[in-house]
Amino acid sequence: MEFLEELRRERPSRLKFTLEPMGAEVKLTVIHDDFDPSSKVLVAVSGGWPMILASLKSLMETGSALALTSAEAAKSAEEKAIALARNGVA
Amino acid sequence: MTTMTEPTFVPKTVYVIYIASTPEKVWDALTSAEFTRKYFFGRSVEVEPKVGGSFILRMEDGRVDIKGRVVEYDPPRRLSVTWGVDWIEEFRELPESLVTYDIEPMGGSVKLTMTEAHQWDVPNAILAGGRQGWPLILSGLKSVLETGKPIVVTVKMGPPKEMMEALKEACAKKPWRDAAAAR
Repeated sequence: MEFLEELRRERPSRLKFTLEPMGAEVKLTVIHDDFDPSSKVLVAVSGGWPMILASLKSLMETGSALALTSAEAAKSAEEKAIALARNGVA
Repeated sequence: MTTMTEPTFVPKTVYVIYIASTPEKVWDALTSAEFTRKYFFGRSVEVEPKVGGSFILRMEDGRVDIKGRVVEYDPPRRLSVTWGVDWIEEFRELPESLVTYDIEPMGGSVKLTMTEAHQWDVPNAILAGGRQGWPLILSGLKSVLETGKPIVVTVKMGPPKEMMEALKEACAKKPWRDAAAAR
């Protein structure tokens, strides 16, 4: 897909995970920055992080991830993300 | 002043979390004291179930922490309340903020969006308080609903010192009055 090609041409962004023990819990901080100023990748990934991190938390605490982040769900999410990036911020 | 324009609230902090639950249960978790005590730093919520009704977050010792009124009441989709700090006397004159919870079913889960909006140009040091607190509060809500157990952060975490200082400074200078006069 030519739009995906456009996303691939952007320079790599930077991703930082920080894990801090807080008593019996872990505080996980994700910082995703250093995007191209007019980055379309940024728009495409912004909605994804809360889902992924919420699913990670469920997986750790209950043994089951959220269905939202399954491989099947990923496909439709991908299509939506691309549409969003293409048309700008909704 | 004879007329009063409704203040315009600008979103400053948005936090999104997904919960394996139903919109009805998430609504209950936000509006019933039995639930909020488990994840909202021990606070009990008291919501009058109608627009214009009162909204209170009460501390364990009975003191009122947050006081506001209901702006939107649409179970199990949307709850919007004004949010005034009552706990610390010096901060009572701060303009209220607006906290909105949006609840949407999504792919077998529930998407919960918390939006904190302000009617004045709040400095980042003050916003930092909410940005530290909301992830902990909403993570706790998720754990309570999914596992039945709250998360217990045993590390003592109070409001950031910079936030308290910025709040004191704001109350002394009252920058929101200029904005109100300009409207």
